[in-house]
Amino acid sequence: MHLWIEEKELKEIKDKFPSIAINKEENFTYIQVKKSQLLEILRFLKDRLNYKMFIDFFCIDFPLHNPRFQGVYILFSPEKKKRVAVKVWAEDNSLPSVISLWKGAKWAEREAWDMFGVKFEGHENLVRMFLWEGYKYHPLRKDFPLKGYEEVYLPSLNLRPGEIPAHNYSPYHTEIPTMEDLERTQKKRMEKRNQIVLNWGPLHPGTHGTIWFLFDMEGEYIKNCDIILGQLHRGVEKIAENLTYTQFIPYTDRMDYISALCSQVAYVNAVEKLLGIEPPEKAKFIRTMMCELQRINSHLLWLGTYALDLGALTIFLYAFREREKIMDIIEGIAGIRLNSSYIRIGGVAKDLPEGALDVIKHFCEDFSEKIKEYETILTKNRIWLKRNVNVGIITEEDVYSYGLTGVVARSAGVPYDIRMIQPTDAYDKVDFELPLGTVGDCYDRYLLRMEEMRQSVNIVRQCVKKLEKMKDENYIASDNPYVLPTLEEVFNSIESMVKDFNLRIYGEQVPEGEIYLSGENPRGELGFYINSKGEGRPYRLRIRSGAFYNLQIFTKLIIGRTVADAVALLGSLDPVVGETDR
Amino acid sequence: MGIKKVGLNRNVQPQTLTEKIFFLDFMKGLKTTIKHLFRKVITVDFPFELVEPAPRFRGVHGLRNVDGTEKEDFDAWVKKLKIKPPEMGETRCIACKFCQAACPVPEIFIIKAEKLDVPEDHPHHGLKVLSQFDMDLSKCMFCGLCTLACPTVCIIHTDVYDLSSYTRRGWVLNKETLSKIADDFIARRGKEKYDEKSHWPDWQKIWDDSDTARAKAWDNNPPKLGPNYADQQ
Ligand code: SF4
Ligand code: SF4
Repeated sequence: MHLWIEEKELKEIKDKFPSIAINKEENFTYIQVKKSQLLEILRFLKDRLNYKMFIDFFCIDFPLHNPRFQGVYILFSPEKKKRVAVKVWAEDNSLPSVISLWKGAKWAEREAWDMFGVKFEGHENLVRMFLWEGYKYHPLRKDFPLKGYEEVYLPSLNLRPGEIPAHNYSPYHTEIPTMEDLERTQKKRMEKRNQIVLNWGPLHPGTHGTIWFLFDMEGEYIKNCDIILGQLHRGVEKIAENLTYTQFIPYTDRMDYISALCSQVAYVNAVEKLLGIEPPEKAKFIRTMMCELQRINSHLLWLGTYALDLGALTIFLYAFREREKIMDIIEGIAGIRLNSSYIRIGGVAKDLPEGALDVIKHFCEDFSEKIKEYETILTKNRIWLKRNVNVGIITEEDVYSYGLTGVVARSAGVPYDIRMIQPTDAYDKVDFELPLGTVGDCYDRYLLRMEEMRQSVNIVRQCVKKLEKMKDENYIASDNPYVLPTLEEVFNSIESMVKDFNLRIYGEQVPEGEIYLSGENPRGELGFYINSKGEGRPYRLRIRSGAFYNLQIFTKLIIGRTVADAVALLGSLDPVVGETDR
Repeated sequence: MGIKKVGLNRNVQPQTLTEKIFFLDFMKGLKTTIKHLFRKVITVDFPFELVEPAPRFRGVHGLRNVDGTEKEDFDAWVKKLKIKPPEMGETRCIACKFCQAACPVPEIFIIKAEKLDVPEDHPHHGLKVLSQFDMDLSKCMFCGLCTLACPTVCIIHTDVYDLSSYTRRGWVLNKETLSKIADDFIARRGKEKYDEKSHWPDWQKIWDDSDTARAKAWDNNPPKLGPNYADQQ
């Protein structure tokens, strides 16, 4: 099922703006516009054609082209359930800022500035997104080396006299921020209005990772707030440009490490669509089942830590008891508890082992009871209500303007769930209900996640039932020329061996093209934009992270509230820093 | 498929007056926690009690030695790469570097083969042996791509997860250490993981269901492992 804008509407745009070029393809339909017309066309798309939800903005570097950088906007229409992409060349290395249309573009534009050095005219505070002020380079440019520039001397931990080194650790390191750099970065982020600036994080258990919050306080109340990201920035998008498509799968695990399987599935689906591979039915059901188990796992971790932040320690222990079982299941099937690297292009890495379905059934049996247990402790508890109800209310308007997705969007009553609007794998063959919030506060988000766990168990049950009848079916479409053969095939035939070798060394020679495809991560829409030039490695791989966009609304919601609410609000937005920073 | 509205006054009713006055919300919560007081302990007493990792667990790597269970085409591979035919107990590695090529972080490996220094009339003249095989596991993601690429099932994942070290040097394992890890592992759990031709059998169980430590973690009510599929019952 593809979600791109229809012919009729494209014509309407063309009539209004004859200078645009339209490129309509199955996987990626875009309008190429001129920089001078950009804002006008975007406004037309937003107000007249109802493409009012901001999904993503990113840049692509073409060193040989003049102008060098291309900006891509992806928009979504919630009524028509269609997407449209707009491409524009950044003449003079700059683009007009679209913050006036969508607030969610603020961080995306800062990221583009940080990574590519593209300027944005009219941006309110164009500072670095992940790196620190004073860093000299823009790392996603094609001429920036993968290893960075090694220029700082660090005494190595490993040199011992007389030892013959096996691996020579270089005593040089890429530049690291100094104290002054960090101070400069902090000063640039926020205009100080009051007496006290409170630093929350980067290493505070309440921030669920390494996020650095700055609160400008007046008494107990927060008057101004900013967030400094980047402590976990590893340049995953840069790494992807230098790896084959299969080799990148383990890196997707390490973005949202709490729901690794969902990230793998979202990525692999995009690659498969680009390659035209159809995974076998069994693989689809295995993927859906594993994704939903992972979703329960992720929500349980959220529940435990959220309750812990708000003072309910018991729930943390109870939630981890159940989570441990899912971890066991994932370990038994995939091999590793957290970063499982189980999904492969064309299917899954290995068939379900014996007993896997029994174990999952056993887990599902008493899980609903366990949810009830959590709910008796929390749902009507007066402290819980006081800390949650009417805290951090998100409106429908915010959802579109900030590009909020996942539970955060659904708490505001927007039925935006990728599993429903663009079902991949077996999601169109299972039955589930979409829980929607009414108020949009933290309490709604809590109820939503609880309900989602119930729905997920339901989906897992349906998948198990289907999988029980699929014993002999294939779990990977290894007859496709782009899919790695299974171990048995490699052992038994020379052709498979050669194919295996070629795919591993040279990578999947993906035909030229582009794609944007997303999956429903527990944290929101996780989208992958892949631009292939017909080589074994992607030319550009952009990761649209749900947590990144969801976190943006934090600064708006927290202003005027107390520090105690910051903990509740951040917990209910549930960002994972591996994914926001990438 | 449908839509289900949740929220206060939707699927959850706000606290009633009686609930508020008599603290019923706290009472109910306490009842649950008190019930848990009488349940059996579920935490595993590490390190005195260990959960045995699942057969598919991907731990520290090992390099297998020749032990008579090689794949059918092992000799052909040895010949093709001009490696001195290994004796019993010598490494299976043929220095083909497939593992390194498949790995997302190729810097992990240093693999070198050296020509044997023998006179011209020696049967091993012109053949090579593996002289160095170092892995820097501090960079490894334990993704398993290397083990799947190995044509001789030499490099494998064992169930060792203890990798702590005071220096980064401690994570660099050389050929001998890797071989020893693999030998230990094969002696302990080789039967469970590989058949007599080093294939990875399909009948593998998800985990050993007689493990008492794991049963504890499963609420003292571990699942029974029957056959995988309904039609086998
Ligand atoms: S497990 Fe993955 S990262 Fe580690 S050596 Fe093997 S292929 Fe490389
Ligand atoms: S793939 Fe196997 S045989 Fe080849 S170098 Fe690696 S460990 Fe040795």
